Amino acid sequence: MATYEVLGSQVSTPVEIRDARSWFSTFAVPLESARDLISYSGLEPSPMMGKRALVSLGFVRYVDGDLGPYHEVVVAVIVSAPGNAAEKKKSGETGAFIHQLPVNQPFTCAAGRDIWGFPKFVTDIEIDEGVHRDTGTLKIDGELALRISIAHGVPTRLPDTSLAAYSCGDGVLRRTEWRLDGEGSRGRPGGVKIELGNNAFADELRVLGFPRRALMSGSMRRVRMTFGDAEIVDLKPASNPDPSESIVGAN
Amino acid sequence: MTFRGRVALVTGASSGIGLLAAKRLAAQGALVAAVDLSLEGLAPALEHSPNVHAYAADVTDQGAVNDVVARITSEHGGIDRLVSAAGICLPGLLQDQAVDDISRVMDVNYGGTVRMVKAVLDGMIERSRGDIVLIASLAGWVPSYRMGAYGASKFAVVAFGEVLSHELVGTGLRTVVVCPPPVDTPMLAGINAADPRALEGLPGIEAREVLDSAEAALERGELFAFPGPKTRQAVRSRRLTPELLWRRLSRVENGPARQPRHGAPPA
Repeated sequence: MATYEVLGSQVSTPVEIRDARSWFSTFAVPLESARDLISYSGLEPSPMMGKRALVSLGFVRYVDGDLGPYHEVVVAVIVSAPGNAAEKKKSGETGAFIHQLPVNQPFTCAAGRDIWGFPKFVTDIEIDEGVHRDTGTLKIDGELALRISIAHGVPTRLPDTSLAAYSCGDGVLRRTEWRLDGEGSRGRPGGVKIELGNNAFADELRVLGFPRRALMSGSMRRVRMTFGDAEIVDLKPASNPDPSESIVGAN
Repeated sequence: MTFRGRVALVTGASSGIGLLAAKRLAAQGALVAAVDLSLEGLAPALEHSPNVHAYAADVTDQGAVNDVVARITSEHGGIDRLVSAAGICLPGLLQDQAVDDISRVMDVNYGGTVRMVKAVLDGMIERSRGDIVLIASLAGWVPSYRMGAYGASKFAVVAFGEVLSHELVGTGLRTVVVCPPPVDTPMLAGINAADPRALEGLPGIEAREVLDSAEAALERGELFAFPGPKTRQAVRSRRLTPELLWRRLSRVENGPARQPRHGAPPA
C-alpha cells in the first residue's frame, strides 16, 4: 500500500478507524432526481423497484483512528458498479457514491481530499445523543444546512460489510475499498426526521424529493473501518474492448 | 451542545477516560488543553488532532496547576469545561500500605481535583459559564477491601463535588460527578496486575459509557452519573444494607463471617 504526506504528517493506507459511532438512514428517492444529482460522476444510481434510487444520509463521530477525532456527515447514492456490469453484479459488489462529505476538522479534510478525492470540506457539525433520538446537525457559514434526527431502533445484527466507495473530486472518478464492521447495531424501518436549511447544500437535497418516511434507519455503537487506496476509474469501456484495462490502478 | 470554539481542559489526558474525553471533545470541535505529567505521554491525544494542545503539569503541585491554567487561558481563552480525570490507584490492604502511599492517592485524586477546580472556578463564575466534570468512582460510594486508599480519595471527590454543585446554583455553571464501576483502561490493568484480588479481575465497562453518562447527566441537570448496568444498585445496597455487603465482601476475602456492626443503618 502507500504512504501519503498530509499537513506535515505521514498517513499510510489502509487507513484504519478503530473506534467510531455512526448513524445512517436510507431513503428511496425518484431515480431521475438521483441521476441528475450525480450525473457529474458518470455513475448510474442502482435502480430499485424500477423508478427509485437509494440515497443514504448519515453522520459519524470518529473517536480513535488514523485521521484523528472528528465528526462527519455523509450524503451517498447507491450506484451500480461501472464497467462490465454483468461481471460486477455476479461479484455482488455494492457501490456507494459519496456525493457530500463535510467534516469538522482540517486534518481529515486534507487527508480525505488528497488520498481518496473525497468531497470533504470543513464546517460545523454537532452530534447530540438524546434519550430517544440522536441528532446530527450540519451548519454551513453558521446557518442550518441539514439536520438528521434518528430514533433509537431495536438491536439488530449487521453483517461485516465491504463496499466500494466512489468519489469524484476534480472530475476524476475514484473507487476505494471500504471495509466496515462493528458492534451494537440498532435499526428500524422509518425513524428519521430530516430538516433542511436555506442554502445551496440543502436546496440540492430538497430537489431530490425525499419521501416522508425513510426505508430504514439505525446506528452502530462501535464501528471499525479500513479504507484502502483509491484507484482511478476510467468510464470509457465502450471504446476499449479489453475490460481488464477499464479500471486502471493508480497511486 | 456545541463545543466549536470552546476551550476544554482535560487532566489525565494521556490514557484511559481522560484520553477518550480529550478525543471526543476534539471531535466536537473544542479547543482541548490536554494536561498530564509529561508531554511525551500526551502524544496519543495529539495524533492528527490540530485542536488538541499538550501541557505538562503535576496536579499535586499548586504552582504548576495555576501556571498551566494561566497559560491555557492566555493562549486560548477562558476555560469552558474542566474534565478532571487524573487519578491513580494503589490497591492493597490498609494495614500493609505505607502512610505515604495512602496520602499520595489522596493527594492526586482528591487534591488534584480540588486544585484544578479552584484554578478554573473564578474564571468560570466571572463568565457565568462552565462545566465541571469530576471523574470519581463507584468506589466513592461503596468501599471495599484492598481499595481503601482509593475509595477514601473518591469519597472525598464525591463530597466535594456534591457541595460544590449546591454552592454553584444560580451561577450558570454545571457540575457532574461521575461514578463508574471498574472501567477498561490502563489503570484497571494496573490494579489487576498489582493486586488481582482487589477487583477480583472484574471486567471493566467501556470508557465511552462513562462519558456518555456524564454527558447525559449534564444535559438533564443531574449531579451524579452512575454509568454501568448495576452501578445504582450497588450504591443502594451499600446505603441500605451495608452489613450484608461487607459479609459478602468478607467471603471473597476469606475473612470471618462476623463483621463489625455499622450501628443504626442510615435511612
